[in-house]
Amino acid sequence: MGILVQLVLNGLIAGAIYALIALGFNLVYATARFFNLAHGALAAVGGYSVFYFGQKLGLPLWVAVLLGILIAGLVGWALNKFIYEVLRGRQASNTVLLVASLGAFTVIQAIIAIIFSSQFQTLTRGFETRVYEIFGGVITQNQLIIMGLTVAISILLYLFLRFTVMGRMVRAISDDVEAARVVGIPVNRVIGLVFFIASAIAGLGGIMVGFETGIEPTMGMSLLLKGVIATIIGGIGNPFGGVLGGVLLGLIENLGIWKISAEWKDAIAFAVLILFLLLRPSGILGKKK
Amino acid sequence: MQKTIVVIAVLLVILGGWYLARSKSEPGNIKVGFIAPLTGDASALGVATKAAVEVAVEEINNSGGINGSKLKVIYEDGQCNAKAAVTAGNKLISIDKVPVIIGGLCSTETSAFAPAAMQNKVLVFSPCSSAPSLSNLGKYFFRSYPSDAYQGKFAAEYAYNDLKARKVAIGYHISDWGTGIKEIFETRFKELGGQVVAEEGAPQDARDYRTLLGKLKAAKPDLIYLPTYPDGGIVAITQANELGIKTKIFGGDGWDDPKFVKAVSGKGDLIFSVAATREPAGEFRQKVLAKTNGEQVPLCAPQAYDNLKMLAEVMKKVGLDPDKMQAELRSMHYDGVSGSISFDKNGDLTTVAYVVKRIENGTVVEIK
Repeated sequence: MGILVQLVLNGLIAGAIYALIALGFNLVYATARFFNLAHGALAAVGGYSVFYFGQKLGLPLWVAVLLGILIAGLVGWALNKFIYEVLRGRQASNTVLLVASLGAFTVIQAIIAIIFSSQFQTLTRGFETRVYEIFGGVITQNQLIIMGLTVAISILLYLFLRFTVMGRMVRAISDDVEAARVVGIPVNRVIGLVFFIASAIAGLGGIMVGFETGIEPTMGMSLLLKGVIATIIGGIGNPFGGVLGGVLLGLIENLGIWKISAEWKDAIAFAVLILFLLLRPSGILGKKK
Repeated sequence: MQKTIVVIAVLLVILGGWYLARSKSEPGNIKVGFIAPLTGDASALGVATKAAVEVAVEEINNSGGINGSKLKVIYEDGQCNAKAAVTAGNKLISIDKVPVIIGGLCSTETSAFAPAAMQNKVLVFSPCSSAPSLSNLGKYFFRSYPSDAYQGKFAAEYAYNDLKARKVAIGYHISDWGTGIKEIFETRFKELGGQVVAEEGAPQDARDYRTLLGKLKAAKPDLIYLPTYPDGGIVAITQANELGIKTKIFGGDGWDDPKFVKAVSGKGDLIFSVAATREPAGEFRQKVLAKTNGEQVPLCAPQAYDNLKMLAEVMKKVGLDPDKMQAELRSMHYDGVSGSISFDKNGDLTTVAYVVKRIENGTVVEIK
């Protein structure tokens, strides 16, 4: 009994992190219509900003976290402004944007490695994390915070998209970018804002990973891959599909290695991806084409 | 006009190439290659090892060099992975044309670049690689660090006889080192009459060990054997602590790393086995600590220092001929800062002893 509860908890913890990454990734895809691979690197930007401000400069933790989220958001915004927007202006295809984002990913990762070295670092919170027991499984305070944040941010994002003028503009662009332009929506400005929000969420994801395990410049790639799989499972173009996909993926991965060796976790994740691509390419919540 | 520019450009390239090629073979220097993880997993060990080699180079060059020639070490980053080590090895072998390479640190590095070195008759002298499979590399391979054939066996006997463990759960990093030591441990532990109740491997860059640990915990072992590298080990121990694992956890020599010890201290009942080398002391210790700003000289650094000192003696005596060098090194009995070193026919150490250390209060204490 204990092990099953623990596996479910492990799945939910991993899933909450995947969901945070998928949420922003999917939001960008919904508006800008391309796979922004640099999204993974922004998680590392968030994590390393907290490492720098919190641990190197010794600022209070909440200041460092806020700065980390802000910097990740700004870097994402700048990527859009100075790379993607220019390319879109030249009618570049989605493939070009994808390759450009892979380039941006590599450059950001290299810059982080140059500044901070490639060493694995742990982010400490300066206080002992509490451990709670639930039906024979254990979960830490930190992990509860991660799950809580994922839920809270999903709800906030839903409210934003549903009830604010800006949110409606985002949805309009997502439905039909040409029509949105015709009715006078400032498309580029809105996409810029979407990049800021999505990247800030990725940054928060990276910070949470930092507190949970640790940070290294290459952390973005595995997060990105899991985020992309979560997005495809959950439904591409629907931000909440990404959240659902993330949680499902976390659960499948961790329950999947109950009876087989833990080294096959990634293989399970990618097998699920292939199954979805074959049987339900639009994902669980995706619109049928 | 354009033709002139082309001709000038071609001439410049040729002259430049000739100049570079010429300066490569400047007579005063003997080049030695060095491969260790200067970044990535296990980089804390690599950086300290590099410092130890730097100390040895300074000492050798300040006392006359190799019959008048100065030693020059070319440091390459093997990143504790096969791909980077092969790139580093190929550069040292075919571009720098070094006669000897000190390295790699991680067994993965050594098993990746050493075969090419063997073919090119480049002597490889590892200060740290311990995978049993390396024993068969060839006659130009030596190591001043014991093979895990000894460590895995020692750990199994210690677990069974001293810790009285009968049911062991094993979690390990899948690599030449981790898999090698696990297999020898398992075989010996079963021979002694013990039982392996769970066994889980993870890639060395994995950062989520919760389910792996959950399965080990569920098997209710008396002891968890966890031969991991330091970076992943920090995460694994932290998560084991969060999962409430109270079982004693027994690691390998990968844990003899100040960064690891500091990060996991207080997070469980932690012990590890490591080759009983002489505690680095005196001038050597001072010089390495001055370079690394550290508090402790980690494993492999003393070995690397001894490696270069031994090679210097060999080169003084027989020059740079690979066959003469390997014959001379093989017959050598050397008393260095890491202990006394002599080799068997595979280039392995002939005598090895291990000790077990406990991690407490941010440092390590030897268990007598």
